[in-house]
Amino acid sequence: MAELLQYTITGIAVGMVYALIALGFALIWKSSSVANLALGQLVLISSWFTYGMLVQAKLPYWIGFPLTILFAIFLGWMIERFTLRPLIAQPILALITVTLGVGYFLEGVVTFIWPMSVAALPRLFPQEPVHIGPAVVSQEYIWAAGISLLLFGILSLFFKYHKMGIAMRATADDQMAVQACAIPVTSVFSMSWIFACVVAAIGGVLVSSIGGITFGLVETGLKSFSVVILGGLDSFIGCMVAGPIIGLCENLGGGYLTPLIGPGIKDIIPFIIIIIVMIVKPYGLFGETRIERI
Amino acid sequence: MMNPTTGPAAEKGSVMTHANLDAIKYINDELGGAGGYAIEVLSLDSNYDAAKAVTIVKRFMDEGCLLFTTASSKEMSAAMTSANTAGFPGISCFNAPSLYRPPQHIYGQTPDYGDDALAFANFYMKNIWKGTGKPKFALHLLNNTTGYGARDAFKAKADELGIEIVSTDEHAATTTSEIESLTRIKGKNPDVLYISSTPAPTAVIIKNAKDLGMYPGITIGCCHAGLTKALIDLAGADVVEGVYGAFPTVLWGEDVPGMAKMAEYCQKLHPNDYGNGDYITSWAQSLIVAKILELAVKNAGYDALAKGDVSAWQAVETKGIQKLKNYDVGGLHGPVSYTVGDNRLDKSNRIYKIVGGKIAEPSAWVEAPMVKYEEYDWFGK
Repeated sequence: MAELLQYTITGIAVGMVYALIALGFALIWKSSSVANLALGQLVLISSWFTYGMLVQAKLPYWIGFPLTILFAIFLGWMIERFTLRPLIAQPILALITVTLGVGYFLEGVVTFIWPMSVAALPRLFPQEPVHIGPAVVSQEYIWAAGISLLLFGILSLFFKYHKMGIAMRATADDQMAVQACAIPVTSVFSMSWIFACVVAAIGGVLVSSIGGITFGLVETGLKSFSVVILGGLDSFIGCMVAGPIIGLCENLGGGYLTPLIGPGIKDIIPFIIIIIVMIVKPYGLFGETRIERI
Repeated sequence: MMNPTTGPAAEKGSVMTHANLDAIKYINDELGGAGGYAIEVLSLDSNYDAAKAVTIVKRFMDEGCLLFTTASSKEMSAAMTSANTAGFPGISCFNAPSLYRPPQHIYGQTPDYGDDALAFANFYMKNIWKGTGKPKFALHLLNNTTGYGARDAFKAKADELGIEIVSTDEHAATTTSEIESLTRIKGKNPDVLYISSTPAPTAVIIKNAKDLGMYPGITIGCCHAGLTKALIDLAGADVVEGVYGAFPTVLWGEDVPGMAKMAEYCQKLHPNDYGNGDYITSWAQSLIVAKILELAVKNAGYDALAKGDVSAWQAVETKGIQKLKNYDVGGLHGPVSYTVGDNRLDKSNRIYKIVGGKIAEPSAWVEAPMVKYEEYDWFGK
């Protein structure tokens, strides 16, 4: 029983971290129907930038973190302005492919600027784990979970009530129609990339505080694809539900199946889920049923 | 020279590339090259990707390189099939038994991950274990040759060592939580957690073990790929205090003949790497390459090597690598010798302990015995 509780709590906590990064993916999809394949690299470069501010430039947190957010805003604007905007009205495959190129470019920039390739952020959270009954959970995961819930709340309200949020949803729905309504589609795209980069930056800092800054962050970012596929590509609530489900499956599967099947099963569980979801419910738990296959 | 300067093992590969190239610069600029000839290096990034490693070793052969080096067992594992088939000699800095058992054209610069595991287990039995009966070992292994080397060694020698393996778990290089596997391991009440991995996952595992209250309380041992300064930086000095690990080189600042020149080049060219044990290993690797080429020039002649073909590779192997006898590499690690039937060039490890945020308390050098893994029917399966 204690084991079950431990697996469950850890699974939910880890899954919330995946959910946080997945929000960045859903943001882009929700407003532009583009699959952002550079998500992992956005997480990576933001983490390194934070390291640059806090460790290399030795800035205090209250200056370093806002600068990271400003960097993410600038990055999001740059990506949209110089790589996505020229491709407006081009086939969706071109847009998706260019995000892959952006990802490789960012990886190259990281290697060029931070050649040491592994680093630790200063400790951001208390190290004492929290005890929940017989189970323990690290505070790093609790903070990550709390921040992803907060961001989820803010983004949901923004998309539901703010004029720009509504415009973003409408743009994803029908670009031609919103242009006819004088909604500046380019501004909508810019805003969605800025938001996505900010979310990736926050996710990157939180994940780096757990396992350090390494190229593994790219794969952690990619793992969030399994979350959005399960939750639905355009659904924030989907991310928040699917993240913990993936985390739970990983931990329960790893915990109980490893002795039966052997080590390694934990790492393939998200991919098994992706395959099952694609077969049974290709638009995910909360995604719109209209889906464009590429 | 092929190293993973990008990708999931870049934290080691980039440092190792710096060291390889810094040492070659030193050899060419100050020692007049190898046997009087400057060494030309083709240095490529493998990205810790097996497919890339295969392509790169093919390119090395096509371009007439005389031998090749890799940092990791994973890369060499991918590259060795074509290299062995062509008779192209290669040296892996860090290695697993599967690379050279049975011996062919691939050589291990340092003791392998199996030797690490056995050296640590021996040390534990002699210096730490005070209980009765067999101590219980739990293994946490990276899901590639780094981890599997330790797994094979324990499989072959656990009974002989008098230890019991109570669990064997694997993790990915990108893991962010091992609470689940450690919960299972905790249920087995191990005396020792042995981690054969790279620094980032090792840090996650030790942090999680601390959260679960397992550590301190049990003994933690690491393989040489995990025991670096990066481990201390990533996990935090207080978290890894008291962790043991095997490593095949001396410490920075130790009084050995090769230390001053290496430190000078490191501080001049890559000051961020100063203090990193991986730098020492790869600096030594380049010195060994230079020694091999020097011997090959002396024993086979420059013209034979200049062909850069199969006959040149054979000359490098038989007149260079296999003529290595007690080359001391500036005392930076154990003496380098070729022994017939054993393609490990250096067989000595030390056990270190992390004390006060530093890798310290070196044990005496322990020579690892040869294990003929190929004689076990489970080997390679």
